[in-house]
This record gives sequence, C-alpha cells and structure tokens, in this order.
Amino acid sequence: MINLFVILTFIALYGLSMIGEKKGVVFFLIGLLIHTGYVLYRYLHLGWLPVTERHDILLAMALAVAFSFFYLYKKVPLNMILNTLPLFVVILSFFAAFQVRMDSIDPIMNSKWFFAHIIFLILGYSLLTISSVAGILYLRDRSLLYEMIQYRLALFGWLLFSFSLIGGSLWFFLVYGSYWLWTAKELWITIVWFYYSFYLHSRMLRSLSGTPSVVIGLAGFPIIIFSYLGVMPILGSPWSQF
Amino acid sequence: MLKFFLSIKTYLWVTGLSVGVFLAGSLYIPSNLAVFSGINDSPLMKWLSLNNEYFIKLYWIYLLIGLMLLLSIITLICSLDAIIKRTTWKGLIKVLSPQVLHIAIILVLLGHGISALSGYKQDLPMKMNDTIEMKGFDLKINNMEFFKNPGENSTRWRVYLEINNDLRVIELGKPAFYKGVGFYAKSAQQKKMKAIIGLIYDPGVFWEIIGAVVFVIGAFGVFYVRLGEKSLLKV
Repeated sequence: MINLFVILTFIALYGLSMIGEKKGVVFFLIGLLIHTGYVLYRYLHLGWLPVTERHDILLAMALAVAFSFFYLYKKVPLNMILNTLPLFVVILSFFAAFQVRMDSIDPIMNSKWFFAHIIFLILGYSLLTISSVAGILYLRDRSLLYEMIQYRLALFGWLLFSFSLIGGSLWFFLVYGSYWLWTAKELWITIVWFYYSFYLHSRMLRSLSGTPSVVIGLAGFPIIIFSYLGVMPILGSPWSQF
Repeated sequence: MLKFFLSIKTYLWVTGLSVGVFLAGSLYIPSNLAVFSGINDSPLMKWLSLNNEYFIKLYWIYLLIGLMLLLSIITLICSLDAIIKRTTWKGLIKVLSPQVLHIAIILVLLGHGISALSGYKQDLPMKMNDTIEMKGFDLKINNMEFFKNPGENSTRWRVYLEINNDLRVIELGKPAFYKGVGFYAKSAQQKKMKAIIGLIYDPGVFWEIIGAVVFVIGAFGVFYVRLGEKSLLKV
C-alpha cells in the first residue's frame, strides 16, 4: 500500500510538472528524485537488479525516459519538454503501479543472459519512447532538429532492442533448447522489430520523408505498449509475464 | 529486375507486408490452439508437412517463409551493391557498418531456415539408475540433487547424467552439449527421483550465433560512426 502511495505521488508530481516553466521543473525534479529513490529501494530490498517482473521493468523504463530530461534540456525549449516528456513517464509509471509486485525471483530468470536481455530491453524501449517524444515535438514545431533526434534515438533504440533479442534468445535456448517460439508474444516482439526497421528505412523514400515518417515513428509507441502489456490479456500467450 | 530488388520501395513493401502477416499470425495462434499446439516441438517444415490439412489456418506461415526469402534476397543484393559502389577507404566504417548489420540479418534468417528444415527435439522421462538408449546415445541418471538459492521462489535441480559413459552435470539453464546434441534437465521430481531429459539437435543455432556476433560488430560500427559525427545528438 505504501509502495502504491509513493508511486502515485511521483506520478502526480510528473503530471503537475506539465504546467511548465520553473514550477514545472521543480515538480518534475522532485518526482524524479522520489522515483529514483523508489527504484533504489527496490534494488536494496530485493538484492538483485529490479528487472525481473513488469512492475519494476516499467518503472525502470519510465525512469530512463525521465532522465532523458537532462539530455533534451540542452536542445529543446523547457516548456516543450515539460508539455510532452512527463506524459510518457506518467503512462509507463501508471501501468507499472497496477502490476503485481513480486519479491522473489523465478530460478529460470536468475541468469546473466536474462538480465542482459531485460536491461537491453529497458534501454531500447526507453530510447524508442524518447524518440516518440521528439516526434511529437516535430509535429508541434516542424523543426528538422526534432526529426533528426527522433531518427537517431530510434536507430540507437532499435539496435539496443536487437541486443535484447539476442540476449533473450540465448537465455531461452540455454533454458529450453529453443531460441524462437511460435507464440503471439514472440510474433509481437518481431512486429516491433520489423516496424522500427520499416520506420528507419522509410526516411530514405522522398515521398515519406518529413511528416509521414515522423508519424510512422510515433505510431511505434502504442505498438511497443501493446506488445509489452496487451498481448497477454487480449490475445493470451505464454511467456508474457516479463 | 535488379532495380526492383534495389528499390527502397520494394524493401518497405516487403517489411510492411511482413508486419501484417506477423499480426495475422498473432491472431491465428491464440484462437486455434488445438492446431498450433505442437508447432514448437519439432522443426517447422516437418510440422507443416504433418499438418497440411489445416492449410487454411497455416497459409500465413507459408506467406511468411516467402517474404523472409524475398527479404534475404533484397538485403543481400542491396548490401552487395552498396559495398561495390560506395565503399571508400575514407568512409569505410560508415559504409560497411549498415551492410554488416544486413549480412547479420541474413545469417539469422539462414539459421531460422536451417532450424526449420532439420534437427529434432525429444523429451525423455527417466528414473534414477535407469539406462535408456535414445537417438544413438546410452543415457543413465547417476544422481540428482535438489536445492534452493536465496530469493528464488522454487527448487532447482541438478542431474548427473551419463552420456555414453561420459558423466555430465546438467541443471536449469546449464545444458550439456555432446556430439552437437544438447541435453537439458527440463524438470525433475524429488519424491520419485525422476527427471525429464530433453535431447535437442538444432544445426541452425550455429548460424544464429554467428549472425548475432556479426550483428553486434555492425551495431558497434554504427554507434561509433553516429556518435563520432558532429551530430545533433552530440552534447
């Protein structure tokens, strides 16, 4: 109950930061501080990196996205960051708040390849999410700078996401002898990979460069969210708990 | 013809269609579990040949195989074209890194193809001290241990398995490889001292690993080039 209260507190602070300007920055930074403290508390409480179930994974992802504030701060007007970035952090944290929290680890997951898989997944998805923030900034301001930021972050995010798939395949092969399964979950992970590959190449086509490719990149965010959170409850699939 | 394979439009169409077919598959599998229940237990092509009466529900897999073949050809032709026409000593890493990624993807698809065409998966229930012959291997469980690590929510097992009189220790996530075959301790029962031993032979894995290593090399090349540029991302 206390955990939920803490999470809802920093979600509220992130939400309040969207008012912008100096007050907004203060709310955002206090939210970030509590958020970081909560993730550190989970690490110390568990004794291993808190990345073995959805509650912690989504919060780690939200934290990585929130930390991009310090990167964006140097390139984007403050009000524009505060009007967009916290929204993505709130969405991820909100989903995390209502996931079942576990304080033990399944022996299957207690493997260095699994941790590598999840850490790269968090980094990759976070960069892809931040690239969506840049996409929204472009649609508001039509500045080529944001389009470039969106592309570069999506490229790095896609590469790290690919690393995650490599780590995940190795882990699964060592546990079950298979590096690929025909399940809805795996197919959706592949959809994310192919979709971003499509986006990264779409910029090369003159008719799709600019706004169309930005929108294509932006549409990747709901695909990520569905692939991560929607496959199990809507389609039903094994191996959807992380 | 070459223009068709080199066109970015072709690539986008093939990738876009692949996304659509993967999407169709993700809807078909959960709604036809009885049909797809054994798909992960044997090589894909063998499973498809045994289930061809369900062609209407499996058409998307055939479509996907065709699309992946086309994608491999497009990727290979585009990469060769880029290497031949655009490679210069000055921008070597910049030109080659994306092509290395492309080659890695072809290797991964090749690995998938080999896995789909060959190999086997066999689960074998065994009791301690029983000797069983399977796929040309004489197998015997000499001993079993059960233990729990701190923080873990269930018991682990360790199986001492003799493979053709060669003793190997296998446990969860730590299989033994003998003559190219993987031996897995898939599950175990402490009370009955029984275990399920999985025998897995998948020649596609070798190409998958090569593809993964090549991908990582290509990705580091891309990181090196992009982060080294006077780019918008450089803080």
